[in-house]
Amino acid sequence: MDESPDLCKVDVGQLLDIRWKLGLAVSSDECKNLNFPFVTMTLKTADSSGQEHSRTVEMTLTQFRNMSKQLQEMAKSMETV
Amino acid sequence: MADDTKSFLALLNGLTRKSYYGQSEISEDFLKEQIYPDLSQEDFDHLLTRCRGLLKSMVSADMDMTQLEVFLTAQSKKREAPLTEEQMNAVRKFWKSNKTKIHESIISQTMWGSTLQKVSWRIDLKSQARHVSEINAPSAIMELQIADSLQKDKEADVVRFEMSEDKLSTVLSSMQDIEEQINQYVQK
Repeated sequence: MDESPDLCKVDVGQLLDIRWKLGLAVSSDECKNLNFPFVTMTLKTADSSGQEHSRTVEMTLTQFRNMSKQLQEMAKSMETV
Repeated sequence: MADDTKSFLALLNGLTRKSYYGQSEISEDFLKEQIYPDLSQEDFDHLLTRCRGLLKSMVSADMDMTQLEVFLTAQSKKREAPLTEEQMNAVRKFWKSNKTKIHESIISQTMWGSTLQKVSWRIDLKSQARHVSEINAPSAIMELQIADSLQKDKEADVVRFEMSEDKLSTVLSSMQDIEEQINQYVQK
């Protein structure tokens, strides 16, 4: 995390809610046999002034599993604090 | 005629790099010059159309090796310009090493929204807080870099948020729900 010193500032929002869906892209103009699963997630956060923000992000399964792994590591590391 | 295999393979590879691996600077003239310098322009154009057609069919169906054999057999029995044994060998070799990579490239070209580029996190201990109970409670801070997949040169947006231990466990259970759904609906 050393590459983002900005993070040291306290203006970090609170996570309010996560909504998700699992989708399967079946077919496209280039590939009739696309068969590509993806996760879409909407993150609702509130900044320090209480203003709410929503952000939607698409992930491949690899990206999703990486995020999930990072969250598990966070939880593990939180237990030791 | 082993040379035919080599040239045909080179042409397939060149077209693939141009169409699927983002090397659009590879021109048809360049391919002709490098691979078939002695072929007439007309014959080269025919070959080019042929290769494009083969690629398009294989990519569109994301053929497995069995489907490829059926496809190649049909192509070798065509009345007009049937595929030669050398060309078929080139296609087999080409598809074996490129099938997965091309499909992945097609997939990433099909992601049009915001995609997750990077995940980082940090655990903080609050030394000061509005409520006494929050003091020394650990807090998880996550940073997501979200990029517009259609505008690769645009800098990624950064979304940061904080989670209490409780919130984090709620999020984790959502992740588990998603994973379960994936295992249920997506065959590996």
